[in-house]
Amino acid sequence: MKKFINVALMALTVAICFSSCLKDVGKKHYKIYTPIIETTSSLRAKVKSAAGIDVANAGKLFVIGNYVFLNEKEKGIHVIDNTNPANPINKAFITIPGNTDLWVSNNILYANCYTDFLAIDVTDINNITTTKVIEDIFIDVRFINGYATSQGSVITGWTVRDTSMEIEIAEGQGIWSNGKYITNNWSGGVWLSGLPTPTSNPGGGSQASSTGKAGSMSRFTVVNNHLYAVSNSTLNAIDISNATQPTIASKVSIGWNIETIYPFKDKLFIGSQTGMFVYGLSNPTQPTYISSFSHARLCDPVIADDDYAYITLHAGTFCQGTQNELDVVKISDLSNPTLVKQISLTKPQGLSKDGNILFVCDDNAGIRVFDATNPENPILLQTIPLNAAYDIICNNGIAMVSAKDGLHQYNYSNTNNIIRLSSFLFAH
Amino acid sequence: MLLILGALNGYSQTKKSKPVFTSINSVGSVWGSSQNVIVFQTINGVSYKDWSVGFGLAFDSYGSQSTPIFIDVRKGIAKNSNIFIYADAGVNIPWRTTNFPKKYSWNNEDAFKLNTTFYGEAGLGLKKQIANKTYFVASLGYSYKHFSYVEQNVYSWGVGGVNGKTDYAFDYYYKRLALRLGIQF
Repeated sequence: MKKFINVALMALTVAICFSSCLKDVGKKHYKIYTPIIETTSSLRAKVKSAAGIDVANAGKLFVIGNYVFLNEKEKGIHVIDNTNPANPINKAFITIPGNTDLWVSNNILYANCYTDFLAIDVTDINNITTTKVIEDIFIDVRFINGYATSQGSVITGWTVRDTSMEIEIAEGQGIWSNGKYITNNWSGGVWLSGLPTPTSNPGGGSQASSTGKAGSMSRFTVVNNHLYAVSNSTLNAIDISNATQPTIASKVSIGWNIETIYPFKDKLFIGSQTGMFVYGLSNPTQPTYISSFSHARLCDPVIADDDYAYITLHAGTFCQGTQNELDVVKISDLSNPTLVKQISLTKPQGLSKDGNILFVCDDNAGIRVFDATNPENPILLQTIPLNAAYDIICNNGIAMVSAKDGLHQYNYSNTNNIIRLSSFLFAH
Repeated sequence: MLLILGALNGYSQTKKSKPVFTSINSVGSVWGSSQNVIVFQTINGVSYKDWSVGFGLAFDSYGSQSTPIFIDVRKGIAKNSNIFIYADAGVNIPWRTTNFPKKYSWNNEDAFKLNTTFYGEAGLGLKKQIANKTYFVASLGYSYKHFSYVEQNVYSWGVGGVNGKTDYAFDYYYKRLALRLGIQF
C-alpha cells in the first residue's frame, strides 16, 4: 500500500510539474525585402557598348541582316555576328539596365530601360549614341510587389534580411482548423494570383519586317513607320519616321497582364494572360480595338498568318491554370475569332512559322515541329531535343532558338533532315 | 490514471539471466496545449536484467501526421520492482499529406519542403505480468515533437524578392503529456 501511494504521488507530481511545460510554440521565419531605388537618369547614364561578354540569362531574340541581338534579361543586349550560322561570334555587349525588349531598324536600336524608351544609334557598335529618350512610357515598372515609386525612379533590386516571429498555435488561429493544419498560403495578405512584372513575361510571335525579325516573345513590333510597344496594360504607338528622334503618338489602355504583340497585315495581335486582342491600324497613330479571343488565365505568345492565329498557352510562374497547349484560332472573320484546334503540349512558349512549318518551343520537351498545311489540324512531324527552349525565329531556312543553355541554330530547309548548325553556349 | 497504477501494485518483475528479444506495442493518448490525439507505437529490442533497449516506431498525428523513429532505453528502478523509467530519442519524419503538397497544382512549382527533426520522450511506467513472458505496460511521460517545413514560392505583396516570391519556414515545437498502455512480450 505504501509503495502504491509513493508511486501514485510520484506520477501525480510528474504530471503537475510537466503540465506547465505543455505549451506548444510556433515560429515563422521569413525574409524582409527592402527595395533598392535608383533614378532612371542614373540608370540611363550606364548605357554603353563594350566587348562581348558571356551570356548568362538569355531573353528575347531579334535578327537583322547578319546580326542577332540577344537580350540579357534586365542587363542589356548581346550583339552576335551570325554571318556564318555555324560559327556565331560574340561581337559586343550593350549595357542597358532593366532591358527586356528591343527592335532594330535603320541602324537604330530601340530598347526599354526600365520605364524609359531609348533610341540608340548602333551604326558603330563600338561607339553607340543615345539619340532620344522617351521617359516614363512603361510606367508599370514602377509598381512592383506593392511598392510604387515616383516618376523618375525605379526599384532595381532588393536588400534581404532574415527575421523570425512567434506564432500562436491554437484552434482557429491561422494554421489550425478543427485540429487540422491548413495552409498558410492565403493568410496575412499573401496571395497567389499573378503579379504585374516589368520583365521576363513571355509573349509574342516571330515577326517579319523589312528591317528585321523579332522572336515570338517580343513586346515591340514595327509596322511601317510606327513602333508599337506594349507594357503590362498599355499599347504605346511611337512614331519612328525620324529614326533617331522617335515621338510618342498615342497610348491606349488595353487591359491587364499584356504580354506580347504581333503584327498581322494592318492589324496587331496582342497576347495577354486572359486572351488575345485584335487592334486595327487604319489610323497608325491610334490603334483601335476590333475583337478578342478569351482563354483561361495563362501565359501566351501569339503569331498569325492568313486566316489563322497560333497561340501557345502555358501554366506556371505568374500564370495560373494548368493548361499547356497550342491553340489554333480562325481569324478569317476578325470580329469573331474562333478556336478550331487545341493540342496538348508540355509547357509551350515561343513559336514561329515559315510557310506550312510551325515551330513551337516546348520547354524541356524540346522543339516541336508541326506540318500546318491544314492549319486546323497541325501534324507533329518531329520533336528536336533541347532543354528549356524559350524563343525561336525562323529566317530563310535557319531556325534560331534561345534556350536556357544557349543560342542554337538549325537548318530546316529539309524538314525531314533538320540539322543543328551551331550551339552558342552560355556561361552558367 | 491513479486507479490503473494502484491495480498494478505488488507484482514483481521476472529476472532475466541473458538478453532476450522484447517487443512493446502500445496505444496511447498525448495531450498538449493545441490538441489531444491517439497515438500508436511499437518498440522492438532486447532486455537484460533491469534494462531494455530497442528501436521504436510510432504513428503520431499531433499537429501533423508523422512517424517518429527512435531509440528507447528502459530501466527498472528498485530491486524486483515493476516500476521503470524510460527515455526515447530520435527523429520525427513528417508525412506528406494533402496539406503539404510537393508541387502547387496551379503552376507546378515547388510547394512544401518537409524537414526531418527531433523527437524525444521520457517518463516512468509500470508493468504487470499477465501471462508467461507477457506483461501489461503503462507509462506516463513528457513527449516532445518538432515539426518543421518550408513553404516555398509564395507570392506576396510588399515582400519583394525575385518576382515577388518568397519562402516561409515554420518550426512547431510540440510539448505533450503522453499516456501509453500496451503489451510487452
